[in-house]
Amino acid sequence: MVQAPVGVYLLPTVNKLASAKGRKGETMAFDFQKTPKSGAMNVVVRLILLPVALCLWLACPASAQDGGALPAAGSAVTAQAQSAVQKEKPVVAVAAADASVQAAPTVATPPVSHAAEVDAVDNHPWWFWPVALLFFCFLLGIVAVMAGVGGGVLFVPLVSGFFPFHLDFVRGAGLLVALAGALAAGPGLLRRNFANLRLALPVALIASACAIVGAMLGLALPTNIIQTCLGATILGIAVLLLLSKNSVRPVVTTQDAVGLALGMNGVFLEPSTGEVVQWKTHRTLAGLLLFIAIGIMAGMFGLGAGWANVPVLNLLMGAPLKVAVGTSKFLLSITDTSAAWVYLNQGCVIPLMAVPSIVGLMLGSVVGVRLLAKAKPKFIRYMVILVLFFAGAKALMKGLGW
Amino acid sequence: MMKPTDLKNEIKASPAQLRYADTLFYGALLGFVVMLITYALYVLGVLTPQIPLDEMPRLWTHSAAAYREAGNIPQGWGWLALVNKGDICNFIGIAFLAALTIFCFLQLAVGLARQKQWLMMVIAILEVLVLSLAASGILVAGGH
Repeated sequence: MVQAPVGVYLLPTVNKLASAKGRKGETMAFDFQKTPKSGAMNVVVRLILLPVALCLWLACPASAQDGGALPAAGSAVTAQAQSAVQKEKPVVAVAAADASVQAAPTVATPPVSHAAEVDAVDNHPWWFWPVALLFFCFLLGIVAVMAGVGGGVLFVPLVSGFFPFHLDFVRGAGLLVALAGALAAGPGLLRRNFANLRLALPVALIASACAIVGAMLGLALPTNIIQTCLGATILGIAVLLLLSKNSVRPVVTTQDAVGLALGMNGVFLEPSTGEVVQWKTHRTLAGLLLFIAIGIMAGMFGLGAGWANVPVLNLLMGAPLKVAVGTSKFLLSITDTSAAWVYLNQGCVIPLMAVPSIVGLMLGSVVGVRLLAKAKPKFIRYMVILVLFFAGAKALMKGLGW
Repeated sequence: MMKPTDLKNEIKASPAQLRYADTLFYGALLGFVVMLITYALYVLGVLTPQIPLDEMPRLWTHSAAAYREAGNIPQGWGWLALVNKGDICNFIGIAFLAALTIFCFLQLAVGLARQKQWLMMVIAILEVLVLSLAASGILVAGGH
């Protein structure tokens, strides 16, 4: 399947914004020079949407190749690749020039289901995709912070859809990205008591054990099945983000026996009002059981799990939103650790792509926090939901071979 | 209902939680620094990689199983034997970051035992076991 440039999908949105501005009578075309005073929307369009569209558009040639189609232009296929195809599509013709490479003595034949991928030949220099990934993740970090979602949930569908990396490596990097974010945020959340250990420990035990199962399942199942399930999950997450209305302070009249036994209650200081907020959980058993599914999905797709942790902790178990968000972020440092180890031990982590992803996303998060004051998070959130619908549909179609 | 003095004490994170936060903070900082240094050594060509950088674009489009086979990348902790290679040495920082939670939980279990919070201590120990099992490399999924 030949992938249309992402810019084609994103630019109408930008144009729509342009039209909205144009209604004020100045011009129907969006002119960046003439709209300097339009604050938040201008920041969003100028600093985020256009670079994201540009980055995705740059990534498109690879996605077209990754989809199994031969590039239209013959120049994209190197002579080396052509000879490789003639030799019954070997996985790699390892360069004999470098003595440091311990090449496999016999040429490995890839599984039949991956035959199309063998045709994918990338003639960009080695640094091109890591640099593209660094910039892409930087922008992703900004958007993720402003939309209030974790990086992993955006990283895996977008990078697997628009970059040439195999899904195994994208999931491995996705888990490390989510893990790095959680490790960076964890200490502050714990010190302020926004992440509560008594709430996190039982939940983390279940989720991390199940994340191992999910990771093993994800690596054992064929890529097309995982891709299809990933697409369906991303679409589900987009619907969840669209429909769920978190409650700042859910009303919990009585704590259930399980919550009481596990000591799932606490107190925190609301800094904005100076108010001391007491909280406790209910429906604890149902919540704990749901973390089985959350753990499996986190491990299987390398998504992180903040998108699921927060609604379960907040809406189902009744933890205040701040505690739910803080504990969820901290939980990722445990859940993703167990899944990340499985991916790491299976060789699913390529440092050349994982490190720029981590660095880009973390730097983007820092900038995102600063931009948060100027931009409209609600608008960004809807944009992210739109991108998730798009990325989910693409992953689904890719998995189904459409 | 808690008394105001109890509430004040409850607002503060417990000593065990604070120790956990400190270990996480300094450990993550160290891990990130190591990760960046090893990455620089790798991409600047200071250390020879196991797989040449030019080969990577042709390898990362294939599954992890094919990548391991083509580059002779060992599974589990086998990478330690190749730690002098530019690409493999990056796993020092990454593995350290991934192992950090295990250290934190060990420390937490000791702290909880001192506070006689036995149930939480058991959960923390179980968590250490789960994470250690994942880290051990014993669990190997079938390739696809």
